[in-house]
Amino acid sequence: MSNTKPVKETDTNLRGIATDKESSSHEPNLKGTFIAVMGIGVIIVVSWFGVWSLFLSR
Amino acid sequence: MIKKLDISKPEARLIMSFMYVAFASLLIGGLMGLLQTLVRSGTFKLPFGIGYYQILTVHGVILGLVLTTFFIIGFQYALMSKSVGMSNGQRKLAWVGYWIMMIGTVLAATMILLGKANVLYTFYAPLQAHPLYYIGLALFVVGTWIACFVNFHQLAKWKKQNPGEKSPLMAFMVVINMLIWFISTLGVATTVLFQFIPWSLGMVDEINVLVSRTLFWYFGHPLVYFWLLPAYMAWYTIIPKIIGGKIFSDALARLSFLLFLLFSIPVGFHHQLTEPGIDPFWKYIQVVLTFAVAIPSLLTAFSMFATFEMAGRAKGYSGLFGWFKALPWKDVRFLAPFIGMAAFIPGGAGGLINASNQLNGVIHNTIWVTGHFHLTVATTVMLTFFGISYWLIPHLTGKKLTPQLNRLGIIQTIIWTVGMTIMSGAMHIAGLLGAPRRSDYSVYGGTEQAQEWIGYQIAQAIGGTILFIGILLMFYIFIKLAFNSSPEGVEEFPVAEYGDHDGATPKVFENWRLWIGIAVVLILFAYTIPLIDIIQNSPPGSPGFKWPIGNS
Amino acid sequence: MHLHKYEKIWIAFGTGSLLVFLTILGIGAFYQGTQPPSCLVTLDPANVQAHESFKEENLGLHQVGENEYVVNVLATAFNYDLGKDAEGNTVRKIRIPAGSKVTFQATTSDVVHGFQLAGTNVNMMLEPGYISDYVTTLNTPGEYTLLCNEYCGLGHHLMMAVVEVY
Repeated sequence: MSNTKPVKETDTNLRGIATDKESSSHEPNLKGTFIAVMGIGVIIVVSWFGVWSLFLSR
Repeated sequence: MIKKLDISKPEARLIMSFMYVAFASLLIGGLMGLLQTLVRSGTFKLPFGIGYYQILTVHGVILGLVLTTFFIIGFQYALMSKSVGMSNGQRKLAWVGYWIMMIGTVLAATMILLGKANVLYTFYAPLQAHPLYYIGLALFVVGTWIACFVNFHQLAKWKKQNPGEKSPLMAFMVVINMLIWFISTLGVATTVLFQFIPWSLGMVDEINVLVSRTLFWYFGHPLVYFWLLPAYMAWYTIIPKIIGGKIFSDALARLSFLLFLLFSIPVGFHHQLTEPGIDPFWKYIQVVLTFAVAIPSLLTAFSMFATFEMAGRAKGYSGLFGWFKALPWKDVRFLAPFIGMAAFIPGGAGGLINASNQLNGVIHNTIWVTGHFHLTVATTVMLTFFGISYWLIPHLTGKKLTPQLNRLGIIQTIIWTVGMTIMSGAMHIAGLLGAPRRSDYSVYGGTEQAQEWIGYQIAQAIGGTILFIGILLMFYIFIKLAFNSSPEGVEEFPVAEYGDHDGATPKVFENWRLWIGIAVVLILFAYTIPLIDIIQNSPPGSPGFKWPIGNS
Repeated sequence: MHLHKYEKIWIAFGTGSLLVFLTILGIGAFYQGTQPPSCLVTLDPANVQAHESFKEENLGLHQVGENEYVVNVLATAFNYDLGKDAEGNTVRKIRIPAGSKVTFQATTSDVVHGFQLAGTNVNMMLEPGYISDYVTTLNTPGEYTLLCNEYCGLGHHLMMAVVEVY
């Protein structure tokens, strides 16, 4: 089971690290998150304008 | 630390009873779906005089109502038992609800099988089914109300025992979803009890068609959020634990659920945009409200990625997307829901298009819509439900998810993804070309357009066949998880810890009167004037039509 | 409650996009008149012939201006009635010159039907007791399938007609 769920073994260790991070007032590094959600935004905008232009052309 | 309770044996039996119905429904409903795609490919005819619209009705009712509702109520009982506990009295009442839902399901199913209810799961008047079909649906809804009140009582009791404490996130989310369900089913119950049942019994001669449709869609859109929110519950409260991280923000999770409570109900007109009897001003108002309900999903997208990134960075992965590699891709408890999340990106984008007022005319009642909800409910929601099942079923039956079953689960997830991409993709394209939904195979007099659609319908049959293989595999995995012997030990019920401080969640989030009050005000704002307008300007009512559906 | 800086930007961008969509839709609907079909006119579904547009002789295609046409359609399970031609045959196909302004007016005398001219924006629900209408300009020549896209019974998929733009 251990190779399918590598997460479990390090679980307690991780929790410690995460708590340390929060107690500081710095914001976590979420650059990847930001790029990812903006990517979603672009998909939404592009598909919406795609169907909008189809509506106009018909 | 979050307090975690154990699910007792009798509670596990209750939850498993819901799961058996859910997975049996998956098998039957999935078979119907396969048959539909085969018929529409033009290469297959249904045997034994079975009608296309009969299997379409079975497909919609058993997957859209039975599978989803039974799974959701069972899963929500598990979340409640884990977070706030369930008393013996509550459990007994839950069983009463279960059996009322079962009786309702059996009644409705019998009428469908007898060919007396070929009205699809939306049962639009003035098509008239056998009264027992409507009575069955009403009983089903009454059964779910009992589950609502059990859940409300569970949290209320916990609050009394833990004064001043913030309610556990799982319980908070379950109660919101059941509030949405209760408030919205009042609409469908009203039309079924006061319009359909008396009319189908012959106690009244006519039905007000537009009022019945408006009451149905007052329920019909919150219904899809009732499906979606349990998936969000798993994403927010369980997935972080599985990936070795924490809930990004308890406060934001609650905020997004509160926004769903406010905005998922006063939006039904976006399903009625092309109907003649509703004032265009009020259609637009509800379009605006529909767009507001996208915001909590935008919040959720951020929370999910942030949970992943923080967990990855805590494990030492750096760079812009290094954390992506830290995710447990080989753990089906994560992989299946993750693909569900990914499917919600095109699913959500499509949803905004559907609700876009005049843009709705491009896709209304085309097979694009079918493609849309096979991405949202049949991929996002279902893959998350499968992801839940891999740990919940063995947890309840005292078994473990073995590496072999984990591997089968990953194969299942891939099959589902491939099958759905083909089927839903073909549906979206064909829909933009004008191909209608909910229609038996037809060449439409041999027009060029209709010939163009056939190719996409064959693609749908290929996707549908792959999906059915996925369903058979999932059913096999379910049986293994529920009944087979497995190594010693019990599968863990993953419960994620809050990533933010306790004090970070505003107290006002627990002010139920306030939030329910705002929800009611929004509903009254969106519906009062147009509904009065509809009733005052009603044309003569409609008698029942039985012959078009072969119910005579 | 704390919001991450990036989350603020994301929500601002997301909400901003939604507002842009709504503004475009609002201008289109309320200033340029591309409302979704909302005719709001009622009639007695048991006696649709009482309405001028749905008298038997008024069904089908009519030229009302130099480049303007009206198409009156009565839907029943499972047929679109487009009237009769000069020889008294049932019309299954109507022909409209490209670039004409066309008003589609339809109603149903029995159950709910759909009214979709595939490949165009003409897509509306027909409900007993209401007239549905949609005004459009058909620019692209071709053969368009008029079909029922709301389930109306066992023959639902057979309900169709053809509109040819030439």
